[in-house]
Amino acid sequence: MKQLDYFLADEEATIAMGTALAMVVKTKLKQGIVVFLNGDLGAGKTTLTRGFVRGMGHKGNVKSPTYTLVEPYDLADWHVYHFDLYRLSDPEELEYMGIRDYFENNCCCFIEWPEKGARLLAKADLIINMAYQDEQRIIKLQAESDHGEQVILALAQIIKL
Amino acid sequence: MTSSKYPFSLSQPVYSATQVLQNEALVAKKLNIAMPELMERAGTAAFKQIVKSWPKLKSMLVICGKGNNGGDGFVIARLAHLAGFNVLVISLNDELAQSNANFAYQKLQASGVEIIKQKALLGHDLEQAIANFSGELIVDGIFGIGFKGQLSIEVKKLIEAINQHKAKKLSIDIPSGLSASTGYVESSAVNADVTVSFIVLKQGLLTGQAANYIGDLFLDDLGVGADFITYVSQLKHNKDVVFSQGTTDLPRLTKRLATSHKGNIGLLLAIGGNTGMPGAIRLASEAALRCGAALVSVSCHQHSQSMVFNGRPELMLAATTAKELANSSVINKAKVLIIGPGLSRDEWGEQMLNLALLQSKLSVIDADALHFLSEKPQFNSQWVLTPHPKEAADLLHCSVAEIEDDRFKAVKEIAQKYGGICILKGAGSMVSDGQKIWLNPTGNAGMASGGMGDVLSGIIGALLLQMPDAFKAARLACYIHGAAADRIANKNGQRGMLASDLFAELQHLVNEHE
Repeated sequence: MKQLDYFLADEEATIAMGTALAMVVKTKLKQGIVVFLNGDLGAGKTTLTRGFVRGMGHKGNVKSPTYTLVEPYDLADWHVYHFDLYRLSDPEELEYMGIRDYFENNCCCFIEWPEKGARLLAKADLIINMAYQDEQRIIKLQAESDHGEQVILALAQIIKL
Repeated sequence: MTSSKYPFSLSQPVYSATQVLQNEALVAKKLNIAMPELMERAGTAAFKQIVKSWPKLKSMLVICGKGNNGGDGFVIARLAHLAGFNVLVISLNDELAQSNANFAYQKLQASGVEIIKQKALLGHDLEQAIANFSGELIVDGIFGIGFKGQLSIEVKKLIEAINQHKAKKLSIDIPSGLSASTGYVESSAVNADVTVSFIVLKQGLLTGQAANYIGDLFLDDLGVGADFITYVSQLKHNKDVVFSQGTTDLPRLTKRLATSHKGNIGLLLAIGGNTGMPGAIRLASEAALRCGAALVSVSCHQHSQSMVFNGRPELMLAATTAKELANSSVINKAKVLIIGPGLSRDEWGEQMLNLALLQSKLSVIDADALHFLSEKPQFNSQWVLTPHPKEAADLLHCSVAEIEDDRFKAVKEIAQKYGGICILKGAGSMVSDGQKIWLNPTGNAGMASGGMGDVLSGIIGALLLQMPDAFKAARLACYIHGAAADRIANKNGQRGMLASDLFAELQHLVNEHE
């Protein structure tokens, strides 16, 4: 199974989807993952990531990293990095911030606007496309690696639909 | 393309039969899926479910009607035959050449399955043919979602013969006789053990009388569900939006800060409990306490006071007449009102309601308060109305049958006419703000007992205190109410469940949903 599509009714559903992804990573995959997030502004990319970060065990706020490029969450067993590369003017900037260190084994990277990072990013395990209509969204998850496929398979078992 | 059992983890859009019939072929065409292929996928999905639900089963009777539903039946019959089942098919369509099902029929015929045509049954009757069937499963492919209106006498007899048979029953897409748009059953419908529905959920599967007929409900999107949803959501005239509530994406209560105190959560004032009616308002106010309403004050009739407060010292006494209540500080302090449980339709009750309606506060309007409201309709965006079908009929000045005939229309109309949020109770409770409708998946027949509605009012009141969005509070309240009853039914069974049994579960549930 390489692709999964889901309908998300509202913000709560988007968060629930992120949380389900976290469950899969924590309990099935048991290692880090690189996720590229595509979709217009307002499509729910940050909301999805918020659900994921909370699902991984973060208790506090989850804010958008638009101005900081990356928002790190150092949790007990995991590091979650939420990138928003919208304001990146040159992929070289990623070199200065030591981008390679972010793709370790127990690191989960959720990357918005991955195309701005060009070739300096690690290869994605999962590409997520989100499109919206009012509050509702369609999320399409595409596996790009064996890990990605494992995630999609496990997700289909968790999300009964 | 996998099938899942309802209820689902994520909320899903739900469609009327018309929406599905108008758009499914268009969407399939966009995806380059021809009608025979879609039928093949549907039949395959249903057959897989048969094997999954009854792994030991080896024989079946497939009854195929004239439409696409019959075509799905032909596919099931062929697949079952190829898998070594003993298969008998009854086809009610004598003019297959013109139909979408013709391709599936030709393939079935080529496979060598025994097919009885209705014509050939002349002289014998159909019911006899069914009674003579000695196998383990009857597949109902008589009507699909296109069915509406009345059954002919022949089909009614046919459905009754199916229901009397001791075999298991599987309905394709929807039990024949049930309206896919409204969940209404005019005279008779197939009593399925399993229903396998396709592409998207249909409204009629989830409310009204559906629960009596559908058995276990499975949905298979046939690989076109997401595209269907996207396509329909982009249609301009698509204003009717109905959702089935998922089990993992419910609205949530905000976490309480360690420094929260009863003052910043707020005061709930519950009004009702006229003379001789202390139970209802007690149930509502105790439920509110259990759902996190920090301060609950009760304004009831003087004669009811001792009963209402007996053994529950956390409740606070408020004035016992409208006049005294109007002059008390409690009415100003209250952040949310509940009015109606045990109010009665006398002067005492009416004065209490008039006082409550003068306050511009978030309010839950229930029971006899709804009756008064139906006599003098008002519009207010601050309230949550909780009618059962009879009260809904009063509010819309129509008959209960008209409400049951289209609950979707009713719940929306009440919210539009009176404002605020309307919860239409009964199997397949639904919540509407006048535009969107959310169907609640929890609850069971054990809830058909006195006081259950009062408990719901209390839950809503408590959640209105703690959540900023009344629509979301109402949705979560319905869910928690039904989920509490489901947990008790799992432990003790449905029969004999009391409204007050819900209290302990309610406390667990509100804490699970923060």
